[in-house]
Amino acid sequence: MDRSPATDYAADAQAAMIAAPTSKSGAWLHRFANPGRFQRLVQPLIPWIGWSALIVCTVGLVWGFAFAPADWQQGIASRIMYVHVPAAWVAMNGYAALAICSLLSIVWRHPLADIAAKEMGPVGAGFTGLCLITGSLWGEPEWGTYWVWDARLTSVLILFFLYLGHMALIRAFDNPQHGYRAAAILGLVGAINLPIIVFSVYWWNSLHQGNSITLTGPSKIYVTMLYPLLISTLGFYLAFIAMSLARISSGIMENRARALLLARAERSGN
Amino acid sequence: MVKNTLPYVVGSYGAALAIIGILSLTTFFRYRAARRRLAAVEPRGRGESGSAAS
Repeated sequence: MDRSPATDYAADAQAAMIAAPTSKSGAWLHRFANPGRFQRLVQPLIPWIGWSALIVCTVGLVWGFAFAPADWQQGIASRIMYVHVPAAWVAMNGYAALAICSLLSIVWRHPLADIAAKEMGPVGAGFTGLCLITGSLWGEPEWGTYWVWDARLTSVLILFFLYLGHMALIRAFDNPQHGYRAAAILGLVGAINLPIIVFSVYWWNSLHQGNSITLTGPSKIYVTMLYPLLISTLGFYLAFIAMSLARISSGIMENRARALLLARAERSGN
Repeated sequence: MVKNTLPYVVGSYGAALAIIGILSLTTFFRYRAARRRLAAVEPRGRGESGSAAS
């Protein structure tokens, strides 16, 4: 597709720089989430969250791999849980965050929401891919196959495609604003897949086990396995947050640099 | 016969290191490049974080 750099830069620059409220209800959002304020708030936090993610992930994964007890039925294959389960949770909640950004973009046309959704997509896709890979590696020794068209597995595969579709749609238009609008609609509509993933193991006959940990009831996992799982989960969430914030910040800086270069070129052209 | 599941476990942790590692490194290098590029084009006294964007 033929893209005009000038159109591209101008629209991106507009997305990065304009933060005018479009409604009274959205005014508070624009006040607290404009790109400049976001940068001042987030940039000092990124190294702290990043290093915390590295430390917590290391502790959780080493604990899970080397020190957590093996399951009496599954043996050491259960250690895959310390990667697979956190990746699945981050994949789903990452998409929920992307869907919220899509909603903010559609309702309030907030430029930061567009950039946030764009930058969270590849990170979420990475964690969803990790969830699928580790699920397959768990399935082969436990179920005898790397893949079955089971409701849980298929709905997570659809989540992966939704992430890829969102990434592709944002970049599919000459005018980036059209890409942001189309991707926001996909992001919001795709959120219907999230409850399907969660409840798929109850709605259909599934090879996949039910939820072992819920927010409302007691955990079915013993503490010697639960603690490394929770630590690993915290590390994965911190990694997702650090990478997303750094990518959003990068996107804002890139847009601003383009806007400055464009303005400079226009001045020199006049 | 009991199946040796260690390769699957190692493969899972390797995939985690590879995917999260690649994502982290690409994010870090992009962030650093964006900071340097903006610092190079931003008028002096406006900071390098894009704080004047709004």
